[in-house]
Amino acid sequence: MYELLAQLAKYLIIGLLYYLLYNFLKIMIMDIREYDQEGPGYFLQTEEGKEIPLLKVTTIGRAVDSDIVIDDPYLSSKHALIYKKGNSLYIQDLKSTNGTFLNGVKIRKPVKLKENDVLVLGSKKYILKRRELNEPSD
Amino acid sequence: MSPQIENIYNKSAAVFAITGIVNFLLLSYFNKALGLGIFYSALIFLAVFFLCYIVNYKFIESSDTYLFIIPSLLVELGLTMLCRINPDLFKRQLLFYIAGSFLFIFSTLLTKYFIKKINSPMLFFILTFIFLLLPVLFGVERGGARNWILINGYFSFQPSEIAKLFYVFYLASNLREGRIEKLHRLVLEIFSIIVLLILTRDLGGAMLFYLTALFMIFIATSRYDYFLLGFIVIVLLGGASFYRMPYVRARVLAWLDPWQDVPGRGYQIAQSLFAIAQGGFFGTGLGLGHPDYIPAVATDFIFSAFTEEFGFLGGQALILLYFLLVYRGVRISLFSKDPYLSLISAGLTVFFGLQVFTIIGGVIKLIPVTGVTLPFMSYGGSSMVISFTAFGVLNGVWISTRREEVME
Amino acid sequence: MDIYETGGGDGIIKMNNLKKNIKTTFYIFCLLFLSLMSYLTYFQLYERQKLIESSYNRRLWEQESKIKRGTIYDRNGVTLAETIDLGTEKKRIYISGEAFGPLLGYSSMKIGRSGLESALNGELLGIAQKEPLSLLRQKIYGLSQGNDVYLTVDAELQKKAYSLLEGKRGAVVALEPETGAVLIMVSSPGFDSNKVEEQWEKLKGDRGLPLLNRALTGLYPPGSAFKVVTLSGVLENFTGIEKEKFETKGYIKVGGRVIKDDNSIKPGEYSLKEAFAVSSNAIFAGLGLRLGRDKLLKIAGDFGFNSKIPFEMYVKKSQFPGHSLMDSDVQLAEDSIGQGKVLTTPLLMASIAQIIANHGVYHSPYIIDKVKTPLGQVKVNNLRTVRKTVISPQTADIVRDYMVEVVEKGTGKAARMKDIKVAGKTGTAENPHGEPHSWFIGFAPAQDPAIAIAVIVENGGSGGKVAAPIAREIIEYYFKIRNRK
Repeated sequence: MYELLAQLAKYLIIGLLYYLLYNFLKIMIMDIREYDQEGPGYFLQTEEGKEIPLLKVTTIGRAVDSDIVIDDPYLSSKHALIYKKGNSLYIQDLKSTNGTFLNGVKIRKPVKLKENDVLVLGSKKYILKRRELNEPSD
Repeated sequence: MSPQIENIYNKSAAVFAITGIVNFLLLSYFNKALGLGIFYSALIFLAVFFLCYIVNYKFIESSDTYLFIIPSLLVELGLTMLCRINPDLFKRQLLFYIAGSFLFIFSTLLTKYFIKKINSPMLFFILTFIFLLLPVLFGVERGGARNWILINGYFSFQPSEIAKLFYVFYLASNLREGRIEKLHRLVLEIFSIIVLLILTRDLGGAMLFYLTALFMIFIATSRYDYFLLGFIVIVLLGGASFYRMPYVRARVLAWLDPWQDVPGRGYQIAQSLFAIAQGGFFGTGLGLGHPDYIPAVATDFIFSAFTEEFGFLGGQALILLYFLLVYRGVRISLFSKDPYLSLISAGLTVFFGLQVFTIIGGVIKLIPVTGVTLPFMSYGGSSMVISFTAFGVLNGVWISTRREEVME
Repeated sequence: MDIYETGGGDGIIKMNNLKKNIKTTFYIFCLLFLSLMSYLTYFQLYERQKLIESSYNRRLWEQESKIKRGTIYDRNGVTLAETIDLGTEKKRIYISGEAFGPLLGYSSMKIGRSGLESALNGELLGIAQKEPLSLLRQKIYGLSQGNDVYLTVDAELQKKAYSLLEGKRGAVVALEPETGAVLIMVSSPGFDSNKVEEQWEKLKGDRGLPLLNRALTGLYPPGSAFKVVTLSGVLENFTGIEKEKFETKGYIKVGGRVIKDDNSIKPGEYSLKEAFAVSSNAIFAGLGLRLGRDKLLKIAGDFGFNSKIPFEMYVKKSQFPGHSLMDSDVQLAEDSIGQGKVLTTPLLMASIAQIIANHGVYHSPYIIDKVKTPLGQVKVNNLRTVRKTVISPQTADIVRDYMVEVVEKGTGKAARMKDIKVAGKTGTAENPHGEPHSWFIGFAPAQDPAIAIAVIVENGGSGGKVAAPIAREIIEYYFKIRNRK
């Protein structure tokens, strides 16, 4: 009799364990998706209206391993950096040849960004926009 | 907190409860003599779990309760096996769990408030050294290694476990700048620690400490060459020890071909493999296997006993659960903004992950058997308490990171 | 490398690297854990079976000790081996003594299993179940009792045959001609299965090899007994050969060798029947040469040489040599009279007798009559027997008549019985180990055979003098107890 119970129990327990693992897997996937997209939904809007999402740390340049690759001959290979500190975004020029301009002013030190700021890098113009997104889930 | 997550938390707690109830009821039936005792102990266990669960969940903001749920589940499965193997050990392990879970909360809070304030590599090094020195001086031998300390002739603990925590803090503290200031000094300090461990014949521990250092150095400095060099060193040392230490040789030979000498040096691993083979896909069922045929089943080989009774699927589930913890730890270190905290969490996670890999690998004959325990499942107070503390620290780091985010 | 300003970006870049390294480390750990899972999977799929059956694995024995091993009976329900419950443990008792030792074998945790105890292990423990309903029943109530097995062997005949061998090395196999059922399977010297564990060292070291089942695994040159095959070969291939006359000078020269007849044979002319009855080596060597290796190989193969015999236990393959690099007439000549490189098991020789007795139709031997489950269900042995026509009934009947002649007037006179016609063939097989082996194969009654038999006494000397009388006594005894019933 005990044997029967034990046999039933083992299927039950294994089922429960995998159910648990499955749930955790769901969470893991949610996490991974959320990690790369951290940031309260900022993105850059190009002159053509295209939306480029920003990461926690985003490198911009001509080099292929930049986070945002722009094929602009006036752009340096590593031109500028946009990063999140606290709840705000900052922009930093990476000693580019032609400089980075925020609202018409060439920046020398990292500067805090706000929504609708206009950035000029190389020959193109970008506007910082923000999208409503929930806080990271956990 | 998003409703999805909350939902899943609740489901996990439910799974935990059901598993516990089913297993322990079964065990009460199985061991009718102690039936009632088991039943009450199970109730206590569940009560403690839920108490700490609620404290974590409701009262500590941003607490990563997974860091408590999964280890508790592992403890629960371990308790199930221990109860079945030896009810005395079961009772003591339960006490260890109670201590561990309170320590989890305690270290969470401690870390949250104080972690950033204490920052001296020197202090941590000295603490590590002292705790590793104790067994060299006063140590008592158990199972081939002299790393136990006896108090009052009854209460025993492993100082190397405590040293483990301080060691990670020491490394993190040293490396937080992202570069090594005095390489020679660092190497010397690390080697002195390894030597202490070797003096107590805890070769498994020495290996874990060493590899953790390698990983942490790599993480902090991005220097592949250091890592490679360090790795080669340990391979050479390992080879040397194979030739000069008969103890090591026996272990490696037993790993390569246990069937040559089953009654002798291959006995442990052979019995472990028999047990795992017997389990099949779903296991033999709780109580229907033969853990009594396996030596050291309450400590090193508890994984085999579990796999015998819950099968291949059960064993894989365990591996996945441990992996989830590693993932969780990695996640915490990735989210941290302070390199110091990031290193601490990475270090603790690495040590934990390496330990789990080492013990399970040894038990299934992927690598030779070493004398490390399976955290949360193996019988052992020091191991459980310190493991909970370590996860408490991880939790503290996490909370600390979240607070920063919100505050700025 | 510090081309960035301190604070802000610099720290961020460093953090980036840190995070990248952590991710790399994480991937390494993914690999590590994956390897754990893969190895476990590999283990589950490939290594598992070997391990479960390993003799070092105590679990198997534990499982079995919980099951009451089934009883082995003879064809009449006489108990041969059973397990009795002594309360704390179970003991396996063998009732019938040394005559059954090599056949039944033993089942011991210390020394393993052999014989029928090994071959029937699945049935005796009840773990060979295939029907889903009994499997389900088993799973619910657990196994507690194995199946009982009824053999085709007759215990009385077995004991008689064993006693007639008087502890000398040898074997006796008797079959039912019409079915192939094994009536006797004796290997001498035998052993008492009850005492195997305590006498283990002695038994292992005994020169007489009592632990061997000679009936199945002993390979001997058949000597003249093989002439039955050669005879069948020439009868099948040369029409009218029974009318031919043959001459022998008392010997035959083949290649560089001289093959001699037995001294009792006078040189002269003989009919085929007579040549067979006196067992002339010269004439049969000549016949073999005339038949040629290919045809001889074929007929030997038809009779069961060089093939695996379907049987519930392992039987060594009997050998009749095929073509080789050094084909020579000498080899062929020697092979045709059952010397040379021909080797056979006593079981096969009994089958040869069975084939002739059954008008040329082979029935493969079998020893399990039926299996009874604890629920009372009776399973009759399914793979009972393989049927094969080896020689035409006409040939078989001629061979039979010739074999009767052997017993009436030829070398097998010692097997002659008063009221029942016995057909047989003797063999005196030269071998490098000393005296020739003494063989007798035959069946009775010749016209409507009830028992086919093969007897060998190792290094016993003349087939006619030693094996034949033993065969006769067994056959007499067979009829005696048959008439009793």
